[in-house]
Amino acid sequence: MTTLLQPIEGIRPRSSKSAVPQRTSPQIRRRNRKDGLLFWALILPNLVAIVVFGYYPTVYNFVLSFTDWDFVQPAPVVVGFENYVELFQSGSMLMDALRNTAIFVLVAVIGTLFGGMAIGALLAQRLRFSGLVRTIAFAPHMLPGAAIGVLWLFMFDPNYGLSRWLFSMFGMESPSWTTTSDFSLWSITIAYAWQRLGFVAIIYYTAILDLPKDIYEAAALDGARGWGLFRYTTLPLLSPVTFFLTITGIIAAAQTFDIIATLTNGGPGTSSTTLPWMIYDQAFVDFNIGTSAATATVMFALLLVVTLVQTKYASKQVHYS
Amino acid sequence: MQNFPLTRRHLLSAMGVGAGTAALAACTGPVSADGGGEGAASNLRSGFSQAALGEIPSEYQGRTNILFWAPWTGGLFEAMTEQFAMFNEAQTEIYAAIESVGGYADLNTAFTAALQARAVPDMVCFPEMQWLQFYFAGALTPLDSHFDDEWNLDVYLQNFIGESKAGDETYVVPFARSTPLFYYNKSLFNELGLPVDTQYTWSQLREFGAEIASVQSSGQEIKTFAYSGGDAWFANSWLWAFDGVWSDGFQVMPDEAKVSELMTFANEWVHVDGNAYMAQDSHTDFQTGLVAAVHGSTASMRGLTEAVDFELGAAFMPGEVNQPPTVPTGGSGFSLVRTESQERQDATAELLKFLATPAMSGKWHIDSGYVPIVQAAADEPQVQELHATDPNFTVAIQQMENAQTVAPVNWFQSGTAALSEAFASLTGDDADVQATIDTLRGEYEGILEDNREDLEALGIS
Repeated sequence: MTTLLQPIEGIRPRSSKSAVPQRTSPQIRRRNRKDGLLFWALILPNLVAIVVFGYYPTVYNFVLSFTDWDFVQPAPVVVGFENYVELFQSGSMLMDALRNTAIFVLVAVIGTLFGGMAIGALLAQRLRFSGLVRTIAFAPHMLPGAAIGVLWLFMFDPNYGLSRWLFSMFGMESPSWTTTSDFSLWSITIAYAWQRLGFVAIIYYTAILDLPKDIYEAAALDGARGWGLFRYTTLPLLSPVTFFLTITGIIAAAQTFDIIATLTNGGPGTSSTTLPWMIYDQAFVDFNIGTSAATATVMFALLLVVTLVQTKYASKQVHYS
Repeated sequence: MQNFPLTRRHLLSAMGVGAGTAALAACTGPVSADGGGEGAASNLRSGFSQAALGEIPSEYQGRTNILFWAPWTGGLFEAMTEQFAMFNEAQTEIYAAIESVGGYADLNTAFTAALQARAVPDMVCFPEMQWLQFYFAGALTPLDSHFDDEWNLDVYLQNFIGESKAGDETYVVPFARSTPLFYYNKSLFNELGLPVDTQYTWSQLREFGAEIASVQSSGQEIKTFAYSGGDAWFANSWLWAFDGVWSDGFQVMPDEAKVSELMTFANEWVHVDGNAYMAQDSHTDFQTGLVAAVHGSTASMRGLTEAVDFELGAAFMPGEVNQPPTVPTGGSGFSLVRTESQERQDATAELLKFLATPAMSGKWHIDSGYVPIVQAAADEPQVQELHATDPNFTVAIQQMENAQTVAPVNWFQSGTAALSEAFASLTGDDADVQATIDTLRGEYEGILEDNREDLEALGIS
């Protein structure tokens, strides 16, 4: 039996003032070496993949943001902060892209959180056919974004789409969703929100089913019911899920590309150009690799700040127990 | 490795536009041994291997395999695939694989990425000016050493070979060349008693509006004309019809009144008359009968002919002050990619030679609507039969004499993007005409200023 202060075998004490130097036996050293080798053997494949496909491109992108390159010439030319200076000039495409991204992300994330929570709560009532409804609700999340885009392209068509039929019921003409600046941003937002809604609903549905029953029993004894019960009991208990969906939602929405590519191509003009579309457009349409890399760096920094702020806020507001 | 300083001066000089002749020798800079362009050390380039071919059919195993990245989809790609199949059947030494990469822009992106990856196709097909950036990057190899008595630049329509050379060497052979056309629903026009097979004017088409709108399709009044989101190519002809130019030397829109007239016309046709509109997909709307007329390339001829269930009409681009108006040239040609393999380059040249036979050129014209680029193709019995039975194909040929290179400011991708956006704003967003002109002027002037040195080198002032 060991006392509390006895050092654990094989672990060197933090203080080196001991008169007698600590020695580990050869067996322990061999075991430590084996454990170390096993550790590296297990972690190395993932570490290599992360470094090669994650960190290296990120660092290389940052380096490219200080260059002028068209991808075709043998080597980039260093131009310092020129790309960043141009990006932040008034009237630059970045300002439009930032505004569009903010609107797109906020509306899509908040909309899917509210909608998903409502659908999730409804599914949790275990009504008839709720299994079928669950499947139908989740289905759009399983479809590729390009397919969603093409689907909505037809639905939005003002001449023969679902939109025309819907508006004609009220004696109105359908807006030109994808060909006018007034609606293009809303068209990609609606299509994206529709795709994500099912996923959010299923996450909330499973979270609601896992809520502790005893708290609800106690709340019922105190006379809580209806909206009050939901507002003061369910919502706080769901806050970890809401936090998770908010962070993943913001990051996913801010990276949306395929729906934009199929619905609007970022247009008309820059009316539906978001940061990812601008990054693509600058890199693979205009071949301004430096500008594209600088935009990607700005986007990375923004998402990092947003995530840090959310995490800080969550430490005060999210209830994990 | 020495960097080759690519500038637009080299590009434009190589094109020979403006100056009228290719004067590369006088104005290209030095190149590195591996840099390519004029004076490239070799037609071979070590380390540049062939991109993935996919599965090779068993009957073609053991041959020299070559790969073409095609900038076409749908019917055009099918037509090209058929020609490749005929080539593969015609001989025993070579297997030519064809892969669609989408459109021209997709090919540009894919080929750029392929050069970085050093895994490239053996043959590409770029539009008028795009090949030059790859020439200067050393990605293409001259074709002259492969020419013989049967296959050389003389076999092609001579007004389309001007953009083939850089210096004294040939880097492109024309293949899919086109001009824009005015396509209309001939059945509807006949039904309403409107003139057909004629040179239309924009004002005349505007007058047709009420009559065309008196007919309904799918419960909606039929519109006269559909604009689309990328109309810059057509807009060159629109302004020529109104007797204006987008730029004259470094002067942007020298006669702004003409531009204002054109833009006001387009804006009012959509937002005052309501007989034209900005379409999500103009050709789909045309095929479904929602709109009576659209623009399209001559290359849309075959696809539209087969897609519509009414009689298709094809006419010269509408005129106004000028009838018929000048139209912009368009289309693309084949280039040989500089790789590590002489054997594959020789094999690819054999394929190019095959595609330049009158029979194949005629077939491509019949299957697509592109100009029969090989002179002798016009004498092919099937081509003559087609022109006798479908005069629409003849219209495309006849309009070629009105074709001209666009104004210098629209040589640049940023220029065409600005022009497309201008008309998208006018027709889609009901933008103010003067504000649109001012915005476009600013963008155009910026483009010309950025490229002043290059353009002045061409004698443009």
